Amino acid sequence: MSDDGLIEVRCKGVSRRYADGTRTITALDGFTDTFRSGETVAVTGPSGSGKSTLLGLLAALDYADDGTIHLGETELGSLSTVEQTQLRAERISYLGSEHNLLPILSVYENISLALSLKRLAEAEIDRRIRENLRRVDLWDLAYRRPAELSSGERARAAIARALASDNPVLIADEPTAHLDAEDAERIARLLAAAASDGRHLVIFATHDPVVASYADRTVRLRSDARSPERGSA
Amino acid sequence: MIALTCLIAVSAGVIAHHAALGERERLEADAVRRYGYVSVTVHDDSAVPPDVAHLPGRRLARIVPEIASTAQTAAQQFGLRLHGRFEGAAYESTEGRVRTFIAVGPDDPVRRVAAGDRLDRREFSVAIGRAHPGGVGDRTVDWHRIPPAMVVGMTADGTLVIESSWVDRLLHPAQGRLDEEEAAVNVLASDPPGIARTASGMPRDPAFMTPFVAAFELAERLAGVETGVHVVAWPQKIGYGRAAAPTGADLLRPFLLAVASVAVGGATAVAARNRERDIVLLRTLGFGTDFIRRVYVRECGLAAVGACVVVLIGLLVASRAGVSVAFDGPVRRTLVAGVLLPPLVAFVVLRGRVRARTRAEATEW
Repeated sequence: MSDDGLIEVRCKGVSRRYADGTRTITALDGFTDTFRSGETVAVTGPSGSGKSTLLGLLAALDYADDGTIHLGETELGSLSTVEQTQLRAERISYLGSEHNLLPILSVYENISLALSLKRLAEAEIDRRIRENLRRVDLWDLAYRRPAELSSGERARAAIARALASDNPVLIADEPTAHLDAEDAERIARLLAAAASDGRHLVIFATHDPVVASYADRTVRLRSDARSPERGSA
Repeated sequence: MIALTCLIAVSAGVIAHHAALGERERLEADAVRRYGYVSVTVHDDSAVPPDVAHLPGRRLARIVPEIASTAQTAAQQFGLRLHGRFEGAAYESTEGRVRTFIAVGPDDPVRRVAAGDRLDRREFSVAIGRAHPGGVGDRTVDWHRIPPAMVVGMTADGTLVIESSWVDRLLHPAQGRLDEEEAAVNVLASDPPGIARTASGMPRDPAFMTPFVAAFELAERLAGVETGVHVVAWPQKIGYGRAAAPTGADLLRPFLLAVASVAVGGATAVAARNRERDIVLLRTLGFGTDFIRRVYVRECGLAAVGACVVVLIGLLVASRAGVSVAFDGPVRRTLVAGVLLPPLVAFVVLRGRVRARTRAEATEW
């Protein structure tokens, strides 16, 4: 991470393989690309092309079998699991396609729990929660539990939590997978806006071309998981 | 979990013990209320008819009407009505000892009412048994101390009631019953509280004319006359209850422990399974292993404690009611199903979740 707070994520020859019984499946093979702060990148491709695998590696949730991933000056493959966990707390916000919120906590409490990792003052935590819930138009539902929200509202709550954390990298894996068209576009706009300040990098996976169109550029993974096709929105 | 399981085991044992004690006390109270058992024996020095004394081990049916009328007369002196079922006396000769009986007809409505639901309902003649010492080559038995005992009760209207099952056991030696003398000694050794040794000090008010008092007064009145009466307290139903209660408790404890353990384990397993997805989320947010472990253990512990509380409440209700209705098959089955149902549901739900998750992971692949 540079002195001005901008960040660069460099992937070089990244591969990931899984064992499936007696055979080995290559989920990602030789992926190379660079992502920078201020970008909104959509990762697209058919099912099985390695989208989730790539995002998991970028979020330091897994280790690559080959190649390197640098988050600033930090090579993710050299980190222990404890260091990876700490990295996610400080620099990476990750959203899955579902179950992004703890069901027993309200929206406010879910975001507060995530911000507890930042060791912020209570007043600052409250300020961030209010600001970002208003940003996603969910302040009126701040004290509802996830079960009381629609799928679109839950997705917005998860994004609010990521925005409140203010981590330089925001990675979302199929954030609009279970949403209708209107909610999906709303989420896509929020993700695109998150990087508009130039200090954040947003990478999200999607198979929806409409959602992908909100990104600055598109990285398309092929089904054989070799060199990606780079495109722009 | 070990501590909680031990707590459950101890609680189950305590609950079962007290439930069994409570059941025993209820049986005792019910027996005294219903029957007021005492044993009444009638001593008769009448000579044994010579044509029956030499026949051992078989039930005989020599009727001597005079014996029946003597006992009936003695009982009537106290205002006790022997319900019209005395048909005469029968003899039984066993190993040189002869017992004479006052036979009672089987179709006795009072006996059927008094029999209730815990006595043998077999159609059988019941009688007051008497010991007759003597016989060729037999040792002399002091009937005052070791008489064979029968059970005599009194219904609310003052009618004497005889228990048939005891008579049945005496009259069927081939069935391997207890030695009646030993049983009588054991019975004589038990002495319920509050029974006066002499009835002379007891008030004559009908409200105090309990079966015990009536039997004692009968004994005093008949003492020294040709037909004497020796009275001891013989809480047969109490004996049955005391014998059954420990066995019931011994059977109940492991059952309660097994059910409780399954319920607590099942609830904890379901809670743990439900939290796995939350653990993944906490990891992605950046929470460390120590934090997640503390939260996970606390959540599972809370689930286990909650299950224990629910199970203990269920044990208190089910075991107490279960002992009370031990002879009621449908109610007992319902109680068992009610206690077993939660862990079964937990198991089915958990298995379904595991299968669904496995299918989902396979689909993602």
